[in-house]
Amino acid sequence: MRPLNRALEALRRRYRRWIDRRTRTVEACRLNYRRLYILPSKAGFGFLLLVGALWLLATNFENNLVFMLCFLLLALFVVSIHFTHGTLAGLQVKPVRAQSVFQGDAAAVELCLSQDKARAREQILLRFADGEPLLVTVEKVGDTFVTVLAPTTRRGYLDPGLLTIESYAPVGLMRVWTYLRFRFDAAVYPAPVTDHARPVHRRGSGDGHYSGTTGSEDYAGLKTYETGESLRHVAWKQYAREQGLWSKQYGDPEDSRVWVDWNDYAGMDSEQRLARMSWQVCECAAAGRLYGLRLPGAELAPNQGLAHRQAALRRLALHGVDLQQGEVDAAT
Amino acid sequence: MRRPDWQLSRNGLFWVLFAFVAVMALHLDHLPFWVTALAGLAVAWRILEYRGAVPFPPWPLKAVLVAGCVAGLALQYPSLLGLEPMLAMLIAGFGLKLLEMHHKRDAMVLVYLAFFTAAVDCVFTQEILNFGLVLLTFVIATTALVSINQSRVRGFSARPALIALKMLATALPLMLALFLVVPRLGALWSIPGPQGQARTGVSDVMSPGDFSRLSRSDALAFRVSFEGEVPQRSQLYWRGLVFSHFDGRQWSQADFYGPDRPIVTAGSETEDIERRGDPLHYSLTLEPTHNHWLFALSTPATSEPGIRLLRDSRLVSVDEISLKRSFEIRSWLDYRLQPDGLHPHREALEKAIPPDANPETTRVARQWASETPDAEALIARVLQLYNRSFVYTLEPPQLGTHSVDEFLWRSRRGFCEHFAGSFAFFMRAAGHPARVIGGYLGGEVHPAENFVTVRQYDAHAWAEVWLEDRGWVRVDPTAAVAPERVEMSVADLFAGNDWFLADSPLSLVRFRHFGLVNWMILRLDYLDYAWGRWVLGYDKRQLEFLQRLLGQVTAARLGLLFVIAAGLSLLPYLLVRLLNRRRDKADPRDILIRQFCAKMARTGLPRRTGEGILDFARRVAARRPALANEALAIADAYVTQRYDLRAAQGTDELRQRVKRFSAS
Repeated sequence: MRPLNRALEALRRRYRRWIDRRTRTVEACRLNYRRLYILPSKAGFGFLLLVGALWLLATNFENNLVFMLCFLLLALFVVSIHFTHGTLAGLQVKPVRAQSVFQGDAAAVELCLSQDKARAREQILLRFADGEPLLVTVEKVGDTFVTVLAPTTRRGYLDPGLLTIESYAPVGLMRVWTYLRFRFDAAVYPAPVTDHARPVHRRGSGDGHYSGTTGSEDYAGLKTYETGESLRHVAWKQYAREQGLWSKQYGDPEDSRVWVDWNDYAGMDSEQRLARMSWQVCECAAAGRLYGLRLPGAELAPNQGLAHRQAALRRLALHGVDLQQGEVDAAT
Repeated sequence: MRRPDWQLSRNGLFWVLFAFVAVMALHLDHLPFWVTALAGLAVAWRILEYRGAVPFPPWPLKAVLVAGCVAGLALQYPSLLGLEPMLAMLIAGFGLKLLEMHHKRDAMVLVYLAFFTAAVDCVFTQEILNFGLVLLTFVIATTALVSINQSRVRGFSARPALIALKMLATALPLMLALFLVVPRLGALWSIPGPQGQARTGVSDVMSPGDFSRLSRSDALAFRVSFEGEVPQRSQLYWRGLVFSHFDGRQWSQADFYGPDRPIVTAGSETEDIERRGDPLHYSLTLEPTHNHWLFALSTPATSEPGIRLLRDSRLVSVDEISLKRSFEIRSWLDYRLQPDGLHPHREALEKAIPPDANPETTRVARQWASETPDAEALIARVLQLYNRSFVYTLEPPQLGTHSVDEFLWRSRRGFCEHFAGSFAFFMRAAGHPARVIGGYLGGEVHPAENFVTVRQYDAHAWAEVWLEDRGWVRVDPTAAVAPERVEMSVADLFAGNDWFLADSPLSLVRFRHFGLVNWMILRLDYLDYAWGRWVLGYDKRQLEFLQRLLGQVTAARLGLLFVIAAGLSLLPYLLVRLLNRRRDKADPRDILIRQFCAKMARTGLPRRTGEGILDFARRVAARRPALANEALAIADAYVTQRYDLRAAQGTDELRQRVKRFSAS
């Protein structure tokens, strides 16, 4: 059994690779007969056994009624090809957006399934290779938005792999499926690796307990709040007086500037450096510090906030990535 | 990897249980009581289990149940190789499996089982109505199949039924095509048919009162469809049984295996039947009798498998006739049966009378024989006696020990078996070989469609006498008493009689003097006839039908017929698909910008999904400074012309730029 399983597994892998190569990247796709594959499911083959058993019964008893029933089921089997095909045919699949995540996390990929006419398409299973499957039903006219999780294994542009869309509805005798490949602008950030050599001190919080703003001597004034800034710095008093959302600024910015620098990690290969830099960016952002990023041939000026954090992580993610290939260049 | 929806939904469970109950209802008659009860319990348990009222059955209980079922089936049936044991086994297994059905996969298997067991019902009965019920069960089972594979819905939903009906309706033309075209192979191996059912119709023992009892039933005996015209009613003596043995009260069949080797094959030298003229061709569809004998006009021959011709010129089936079946038969109405003399054993048998029975008749017969030595004259004399002083009635009086004596010389009221029995006895006592024949007389003739319906109340008994040079000659003493019996159907003869159809109080035949009822009876009868001929017996007529349809049955034409039928079934589907097809009606500016992106993609700089056109142009500008101006201009033109409501909505500028644009 073991070698057989292994052989089957190898065959399955080869098949996946072949399909992977075969499937072109598309921007949006209307599923039609050119894209959909359909074959009997396991239950479908079982159903054919049932038809065979009925045929034997009919033949042996020379019973035309049983023949009729046998042919009815056979015809049902054939007709189910069309009905199952119909659950996916005509459905339009568009990628909407994908979330940027750290390597190893599952990226939420939002897709839009749309159809021109109200029609119940049940039991549609969407799944990225090795990802969690998602079961949806499309009924209304227009767009139905769904979010599928795609596992990530490599930093760079998000490449969720092949999206499999399949359905067994309405009778489970057939499996109709298609493979789609979409390109996303989202990035997969290097997975952070804790670097104990460079701890980042969180300002004003000490051991995680924030004592309040009054005791802080380097308080410098208020500034409009930007998304992503630490909630600890929100000026709640002003907010409570309905004067708007402000964040407290602390003085001495020059001193608290941090540079996350590629050259600090001498003696490591690029992936190890990027992983540690990724951690440092996260730490700095969490501590609410101003930080900049230095990569070979690129520099990001010190700043703070969510947008800055994303920009920094994206730089790290795409470092050395060939823009056309979307893959990590082996040379860097 | 396990699918997220492996569990059986509530609606799925409901429909599977429904399908199971429907199958059980179909098979109530064919199952031992305890199997039905067990299956009912299983359904109840499964429902309670679903509602959380009872736990899943623990495995020791399941083991005990399985062992109990196996033991019960082994005790119930002497052999497990048969239709009923198989059915009981399937149903019992079905019920037990219900208890642990949680996966969709299990439910699918059970639905397959429901399909199969429902189809088995058609082996037992082939009535139209029953087939309708089986089809209904198929609809329910298909619905179960749909509901298993449907998304979870709250509560009960009938939507799967609509989908199932739609699918089955779409499947119908293809089914019809398959039914018409797929060749039938004939039985591959023999399986015993349904056993242990009550025997119906004429039995192989005839005692006074038996035939008048049959007149109480209007059940169908058989239907005959003639090629060409139906012969006159007086010719329609459906001969089935030969009673050669008389014990003083009962007439019964002689041993099949006598020294005169009664079983012969048609056309062989040993058969001493002389057939003259052209035979009548007809096909006879016999309802299951659970007996061996067939009914046919004398003298018959057939090439049906499993059917033998006996020396006394009748057909018997090797196996019990437990299924409705039709037989193609040829009959020569002009014949001589054993004209060259009887085997001594046979002669002794056909002349034997019990020594002490009916002394008075024996005495009179001997006296008449000496007065009228010519057999034919003697027959005429006896028939004259019947004609003068006998009454043909459905309510004959009870007869004592010497039944023939009492009937002939005292009561003189009787039904056909009294006349036939007393006549044969009289002839034997007079020294002539004679016997009683059992079967049916006449039937309802449908002249337009050339078929005859024979019902149980058409059962009849007559006699045969062996004459020098002429062989066995049919003599019907009933005809001497009541000639109208031969010309009319019993239904017309006895309409209004209390005894007639006493067992079928609701029979429409009772009301056939109303024109509408009569018309309805005839139509229903025709429907049933057509059903038997064109559906149940289609395998026998497949070639003929295809010839009529195609002119000439060749592989190419068959294939064409099949393709047309299959195409018809897919036509509605294809039409919908064609109508739904839409041209790609994109905005001309979008098409132009797509062309621009395609040009860039060819140079290895494709636009990313979700990337705005301006972002893309900026990226192009950054990576290909030579194209910067043109790319930005195109993006700008697109945005202006597509989205700026104040700008002219033309496409000229964009078109020119895109056409001019060269990425190389």
